[in-house]
Amino acid sequence: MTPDLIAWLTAPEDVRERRDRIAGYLANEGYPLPPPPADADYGEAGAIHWVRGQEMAVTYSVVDQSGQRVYYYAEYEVEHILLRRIRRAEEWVLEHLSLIPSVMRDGRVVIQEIGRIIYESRRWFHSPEGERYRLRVVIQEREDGHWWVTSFHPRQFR
Amino acid sequence: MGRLLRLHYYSPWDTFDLLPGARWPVQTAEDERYEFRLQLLLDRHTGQLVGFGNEGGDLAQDYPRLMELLAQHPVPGLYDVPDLNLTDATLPQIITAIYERYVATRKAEPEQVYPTVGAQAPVLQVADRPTDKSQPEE
Repeated sequence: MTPDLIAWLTAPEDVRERRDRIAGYLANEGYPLPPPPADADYGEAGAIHWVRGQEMAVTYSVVDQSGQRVYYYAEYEVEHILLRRIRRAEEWVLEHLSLIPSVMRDGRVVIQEIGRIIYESRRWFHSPEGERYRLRVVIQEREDGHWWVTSFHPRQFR
Repeated sequence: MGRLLRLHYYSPWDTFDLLPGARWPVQTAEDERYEFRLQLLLDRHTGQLVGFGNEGGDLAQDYPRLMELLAQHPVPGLYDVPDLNLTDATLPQIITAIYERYVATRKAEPEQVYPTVGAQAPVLQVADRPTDKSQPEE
């Protein structure tokens, strides 16, 4: 059934339909997606950016603790954040999706190198299995100097 | 016979997941050891190594350093990856096959260039061809 699940979630061509389908699945599993973060900048929402030859629509942007504006894209969220968490059976993390801006602003810097920063939440969270995790947000710099969110994932906290 | 891994490649972002199936309960480990360029994926129930990924990385940029890190910190095990036609392959062999299939072939192609806002497209010039204005006026 699992391959069919991924295929079913990715079937709609329109990214909003795919997101709706994923949101419905997550709600049925008991992990409803949160509303969009209130502490983000929506001034450029809907603007189209070209990222590695792909059209990406801005969902929101955030000025992180380094002072740089970081973009969060609708298409990337669906394909690489939501689906990746489902692929790794980490759906519970997506309940905290709206924490991405605050992790970028207030989180601990795990690593900072040319073109990439990894932030980690200072709080820890419990998975359904009872393990403790911190939430990580990875941002990367594009060739044109813009930064964007490329990952939101849990890291076990021991 | 190696352990089965299915490849999920995310082009053009140059990230991948290698998992035993389309969906598998895993947790990441050892990402610090590999400078966050590789994640070892452990089965959440058994704790055994079952897969690999480079979420948040970029194989196009990370490949040379990743090979160095894997030489310093080898990952044991042999794997079958039907998506890459590999059997009994080591992790460096698998990552090299991914790199050659998705990154090296793309680098060999001319890069697509998108005009920036305000940039003017070059004017097409045709040599040795008279235009209307070049005709003698009556």
